[in-house]
Amino acid sequence: MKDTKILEVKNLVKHFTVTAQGASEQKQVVRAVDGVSLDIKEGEILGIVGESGCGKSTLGKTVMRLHDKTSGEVLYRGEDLFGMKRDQMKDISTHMQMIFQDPYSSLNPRKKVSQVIGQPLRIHSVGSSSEQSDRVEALMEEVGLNPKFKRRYPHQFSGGQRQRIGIARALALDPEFIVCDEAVSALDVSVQAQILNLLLDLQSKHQFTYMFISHDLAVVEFISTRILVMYLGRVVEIADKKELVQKHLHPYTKALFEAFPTTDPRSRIGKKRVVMGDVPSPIYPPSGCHFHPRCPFATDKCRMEYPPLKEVSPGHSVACWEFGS
Amino acid sequence: MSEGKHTGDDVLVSIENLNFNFNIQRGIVKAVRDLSVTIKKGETLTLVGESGCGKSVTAHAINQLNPMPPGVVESGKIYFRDKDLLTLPKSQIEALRGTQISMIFQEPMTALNPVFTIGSQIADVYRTHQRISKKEALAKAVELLDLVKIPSPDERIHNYPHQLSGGMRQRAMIAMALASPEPGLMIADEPTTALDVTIQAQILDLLNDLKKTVGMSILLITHDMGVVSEMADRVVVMYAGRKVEEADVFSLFEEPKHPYTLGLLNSLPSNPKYRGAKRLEAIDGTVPDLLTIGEGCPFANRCGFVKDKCLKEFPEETKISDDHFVWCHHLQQQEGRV
Repeated sequence: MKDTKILEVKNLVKHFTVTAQGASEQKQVVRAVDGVSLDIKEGEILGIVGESGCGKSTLGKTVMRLHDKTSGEVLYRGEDLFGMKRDQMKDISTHMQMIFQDPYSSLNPRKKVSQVIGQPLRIHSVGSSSEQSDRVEALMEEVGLNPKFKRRYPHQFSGGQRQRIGIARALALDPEFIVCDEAVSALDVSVQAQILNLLLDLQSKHQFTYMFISHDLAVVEFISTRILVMYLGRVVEIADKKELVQKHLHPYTKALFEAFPTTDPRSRIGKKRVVMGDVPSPIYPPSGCHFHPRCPFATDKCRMEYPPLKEVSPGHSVACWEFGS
Repeated sequence: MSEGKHTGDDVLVSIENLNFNFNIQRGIVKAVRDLSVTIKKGETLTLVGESGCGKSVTAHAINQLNPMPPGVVESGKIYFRDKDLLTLPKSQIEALRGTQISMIFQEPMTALNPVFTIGSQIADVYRTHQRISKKEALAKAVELLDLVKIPSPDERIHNYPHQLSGGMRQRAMIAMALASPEPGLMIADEPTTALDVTIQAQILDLLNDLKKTVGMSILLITHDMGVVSEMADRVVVMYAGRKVEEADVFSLFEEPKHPYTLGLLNSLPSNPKYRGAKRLEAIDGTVPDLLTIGEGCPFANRCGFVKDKCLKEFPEETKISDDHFVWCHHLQQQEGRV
């Protein structure tokens, strides 16, 4: 792994304004991403894990500039993504691609598979039409689809095959950085394993850099080289995979690991879980540390002030007053 | 499985040789084939399998919530406390639903009525089956919300479903399922699939507690092996409409026998053997089409041990131990040699 930073996110904020239902029609602000900073190095797989509403998908989409930012910076190989003109953005989009969760809604049902996969090639005028057609066949083969089905429509494929189509489309322009947003979450486990293997094979073949977003701790733990944990729009902990799995410090990370069902039925005997309660709304996040209402170790300071992310050992940062923030 | 095993004092539900089809325009979907399952009193039985394996159809066959038509019970019997449910008149089935057989669903938002408060919805269950006043029923609703650990239940009964979080809604659903003088069987169809993992843990703990305090049986339907390992007493693994393995939860996870069960456990990235690994042992191929499926073992096209026989006929039961049965030609041969 090289140490070149492919992506730098600096204090990124993305708020959505929603109009509350009911009589008052008050405008409310959803703080989906609320000051996130991170780096992704060339060739690494950064796993982003958190529960619904933690802002992980918004982060992925904002990094791809599918959302406008509210404030902060996203630098792709040192260049400010949000400062780019349309032409520059079009160029850079050949390097950055995204794989979506739902292989049903992310593929146009009226286009044949060859058109779905070939679309990026046509938009960017890569090669003649016969070259494009060859490329589509090669891509289908690469992701494990039989090229003879290229004239079929997405609905004629199973969920796993559809996800392969989405992956082939993402590969069409030879990207180097791919955001996988819950890319295996809609799939049955036996198919999920096939797609995880495919993503890893492709990564080692092409030296891709992935930002792998998922709510599933087991999947993130398996695929990532580094893991970032989000809670209500903020980073609560980030570390190399091994460090995070063995020495996670933040009470929320602990709660996630505790809550995640194991595949050892004997481990349930005498198991005690500490964290109770629900995830609060990102419209009215709790004061101080967002996790304090659910945290068994919360102190007055936690209720007043949000703890900054602080490095506790090389590459391992935690946002918790308990650990020297 | 031998005759007579399905009756006995400790058996609550006994499904015998159920064949359930859906007759659709393109042909006959054989959703459940020759399935026999018993649920004992006070136990949690889990049906586990991937989409289309027939687990939900089986559960809905018990309280008869499958759409009929296109659904058809080809053959088989379903006994609940010695009554054959499939021969009972509709009125008696309706009387059983909500009193002795209750159900919780995956998405509580769609299962609860958005225009009534949760208190009145729970009270309705009582008033449908018992002659009590609205006030008494509401008081019982408060008790139930307290039982499922909803904070300040006397205020919460006045809330509408949209005012509750996903986890709270599922608790309210569970309370409604318990609104009965004699809860017998709770069918939980993917009860935590729509919930976040920290909320899932709380709901699973709650169900485990309630099972003991209320003394009911749970039929849990899930695709998630993690949920199985947290909840189950016994497990039935289904694949493409067939039961392929049945065992107590410890045997299933510690000594899985059927190639599909093995494949399913090996597909889990949380399997401890993948610490630091770069590849999963995935099962190749996809589930067969239930419209065109033949008489053989449904897993044959993805199985590493496939023989000619597997394509032609579905295997007989192989007994591994008193609590562990498997349906596989490959294992039958192995066990036979021993």
